Amino acid sequence: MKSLTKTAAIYVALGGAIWGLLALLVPARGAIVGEVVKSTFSQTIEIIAAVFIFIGLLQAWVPPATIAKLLGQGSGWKGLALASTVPIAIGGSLFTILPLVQTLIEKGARLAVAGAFITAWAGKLPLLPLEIQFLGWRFALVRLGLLIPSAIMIGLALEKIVERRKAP
Amino acid sequence: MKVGDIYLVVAGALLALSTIRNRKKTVAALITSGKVTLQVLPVLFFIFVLMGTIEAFVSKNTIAHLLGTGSGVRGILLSEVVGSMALIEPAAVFPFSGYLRTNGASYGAVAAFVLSAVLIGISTLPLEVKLFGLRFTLTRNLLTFAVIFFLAILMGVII
Repeated sequence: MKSLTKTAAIYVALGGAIWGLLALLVPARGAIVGEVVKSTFSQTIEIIAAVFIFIGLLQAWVPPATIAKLLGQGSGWKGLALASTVPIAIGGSLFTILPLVQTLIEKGARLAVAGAFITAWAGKLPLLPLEIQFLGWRFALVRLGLLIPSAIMIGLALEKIVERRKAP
Repeated sequence: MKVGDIYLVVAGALLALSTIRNRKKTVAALITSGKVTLQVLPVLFFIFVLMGTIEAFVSKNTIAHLLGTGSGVRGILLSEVVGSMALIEPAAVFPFSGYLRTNGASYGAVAAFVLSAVLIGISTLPLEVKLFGLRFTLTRNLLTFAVIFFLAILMGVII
């Protein structure tokens, strides 16, 4: 919690410093920065608030550890199919997702499942309202549609390449 | 009614439903939401300042020239490299990408940025090597970089 507030303070200070410096040195451009910050915030604050509530609810009702458990059980094509779709619903950043995938491997998941999991997690369903708002639903749908087969491909290729050297 | 209002109403309804079903879980959910807010909102502020700074100093033409439809493969590669290096909260990726898009970046370049920002991390490399080893990490990141390149071209064509 403490480090969370610290990081938060750093970002606010950094943003504030850039903005403040510009406002001081070149007031006209500083005003443009203020305009962009204000208009983007007012455009998005409600969506952002809703997304944060969605993420909290999702985490509480479907914890990532439960999802990981579910995936560890599927084998063969079933495992790949699950690994390339289910992680779409998980939030977080790579910093939180990588350790989760590592526990998957420890529990015996194939490398293909691990690779597909990480890739599919980029689907970012919890952020869908933001994606639709800024890039449109067409972009979001096509991106998701292409990502799922890509996740399987990356998983399988990754497994092949990494395990080639290990094979006797 | 704005789109944001609709999302908020849905979020409120889900929260109410969650409270009825399980109070404890709802409290946990709200704590998570609070933490996420504390974690992401400052980053969003920083990204918005960055967007404003670009707006103030970089002309629309420059963005369109670097990342527009005319930039082709070069624009996609540039977006991928920048996305891979960007130390960025996924939630901040979309506002920034939307900004690039409205300022003339092509859908392909935007897709390349979004995917590489989320999936490839110079900043997460040390952690990934520690957890999975160098071979896995290099292979995954390079493979992902290559696949994103083709996905971006495809998305540029489809959308």
